[in-house]
Amino acid sequence: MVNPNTFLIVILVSLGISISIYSYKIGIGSINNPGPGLFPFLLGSLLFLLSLYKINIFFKKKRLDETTHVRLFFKKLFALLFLLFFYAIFIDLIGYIFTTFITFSFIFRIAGYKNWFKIITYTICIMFISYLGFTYLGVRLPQGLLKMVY
Amino acid sequence: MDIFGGLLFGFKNVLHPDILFYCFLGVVIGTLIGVLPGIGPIAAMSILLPTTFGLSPASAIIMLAGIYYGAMYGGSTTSILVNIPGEAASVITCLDGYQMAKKGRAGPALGISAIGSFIGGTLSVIALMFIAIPLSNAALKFGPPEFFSLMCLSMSLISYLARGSTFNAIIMIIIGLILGTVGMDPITGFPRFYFGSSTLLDGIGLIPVAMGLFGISEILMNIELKERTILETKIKNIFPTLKDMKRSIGAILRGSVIGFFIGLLPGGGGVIPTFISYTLEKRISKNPNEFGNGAIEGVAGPETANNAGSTGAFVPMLALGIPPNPVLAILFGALLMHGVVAGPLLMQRYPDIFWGVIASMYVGNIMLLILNLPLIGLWVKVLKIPYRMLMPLILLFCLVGCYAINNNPIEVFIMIIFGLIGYCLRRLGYELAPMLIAMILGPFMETNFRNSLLISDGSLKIFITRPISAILLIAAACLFVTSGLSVYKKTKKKIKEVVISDD
Repeated sequence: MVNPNTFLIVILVSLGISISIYSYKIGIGSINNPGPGLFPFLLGSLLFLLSLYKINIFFKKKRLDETTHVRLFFKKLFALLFLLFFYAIFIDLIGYIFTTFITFSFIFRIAGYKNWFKIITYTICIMFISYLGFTYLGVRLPQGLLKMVY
Repeated sequence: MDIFGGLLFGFKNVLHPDILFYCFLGVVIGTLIGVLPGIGPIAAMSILLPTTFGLSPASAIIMLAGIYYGAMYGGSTTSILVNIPGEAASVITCLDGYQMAKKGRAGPALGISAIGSFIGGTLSVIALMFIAIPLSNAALKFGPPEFFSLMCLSMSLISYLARGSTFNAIIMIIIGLILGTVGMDPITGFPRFYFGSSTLLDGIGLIPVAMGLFGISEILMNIELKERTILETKIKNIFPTLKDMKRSIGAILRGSVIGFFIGLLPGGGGVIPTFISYTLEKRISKNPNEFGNGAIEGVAGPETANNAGSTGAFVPMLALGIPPNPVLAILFGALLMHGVVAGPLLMQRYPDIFWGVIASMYVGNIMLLILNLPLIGLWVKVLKIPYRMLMPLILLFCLVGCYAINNNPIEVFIMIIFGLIGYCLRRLGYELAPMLIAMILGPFMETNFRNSLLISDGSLKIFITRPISAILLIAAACLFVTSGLSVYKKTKKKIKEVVISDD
């Protein structure tokens, strides 16, 4: 199994390089007239150097990190992330009421509720209470499909 | 305006029914947040930030500050009754608080933690007044090089005092500073790292990032959380006896001093003073064996220290414009959203906010004492709300709260992505607070750095020829060198151990 730290180091090195290159391109200016790229260029280079040092440490003490593997709950994690992204994509399209109803029915299920009657009751309750609460606070929630009805 | 004149002005503002209401609302929400595990003051403040847009800056900040110190009060309830800290600063309270509850002394434990918090909070506000004013007057003489050096010192303190690895904290600070460069360049207005998105042109929003890193990632971390078991004990004798008070008063006074002074340091946070206070109390106690088995000093000292620390943390933010921890970084961001920049000029330009916040702390501490002593039964009932019910509610507030800022679903995406990043980083042992603080301070640091270069016509000597800047930079360098050396020694020792075990 690949140590998750390996992924992180690869990401940090790539981030350091790409930020440095991009900042250089937008112009680092000169020392008496610093350009918009100077500060990010310095940060990108520093990140790259620190990541290189981290690689050095990582290879030397690889065995130590192997003991730090953590138990992950991928199934629930991915399901929850999927629902959150679903909410972000569809809230404007189908509206607050429908998106909240669909998303939170499944989120209650992930949270540990088994009885669908309870799940739907709770979802409807929090949906309407939050709708009233946020509308009272002056938040304009998207109507989505309801726009076609009204 | 002198201190007493200012304080009277602050009270005049705070005792206005509207502001009093928001102060009360803040401390109630704060206590609630402190009592409920799974959501901390950072996430709560981020969620509620959009709802403060309609308020005056003073009301908004007073409410948000109330959430912060209210959470410090509430955190002890969960530690004592459930053995799970409501927020990080109450971790150490679990040791003796829970043991006291198991022995049927939950009442005195809760009582002394509320009284200690009140005394610590009040003494710290008094100290805050006397330190913040001369400090902000001194900071008026600072120019861009001094501010840049001060920010360097803050960053090095944050990495030095980080709970995990210092090296990882430095990486988090750099990533935070890089995130702060997204959007328009603060000097030329040139767009950077915005990938053609108009949302990113104004920079990455503080609220989506804070909600993602501290709200969503917390939910992801707790996805398999088992329901809590609340100790079934009758809460009686909430007011400590004279004997308990005699035992605790020293711990409370020492906790106030430790908490306040460590709270002043960037990165000092609420956690470190509690550990120092606990260790000190154990060391000077005549019965150190009692610690861990229900010693009342083990509850009084740390609980006082965390409240004193949370108040002390306001000093660098109000006087210098340096938020020392992520909660105050949110407050700093909230002020920015209302068009107010915290720092040396705050007291002169916005006395209603400066003195209002200070006066509200006196009032808020009294409100919290009333909320936490006679109404403790109510908070125990709140504790019984199952996590499986709380989790969807927290998520809904995060999603709608983030969407409501600008009615922009892209900000919800940003929040989810940062939630995932936060989750992965926490799993790998990285601390998120340095990243958030660096992200907020980043644009100020860059502006001061570049302005210094412009003033000096490109000479880096400006940072060392000006005495204050030089002192601050030397202090920062010393911290980096000492922490770097300690990391190097630790790594070398570990590698040696592995090599020996391989042989």
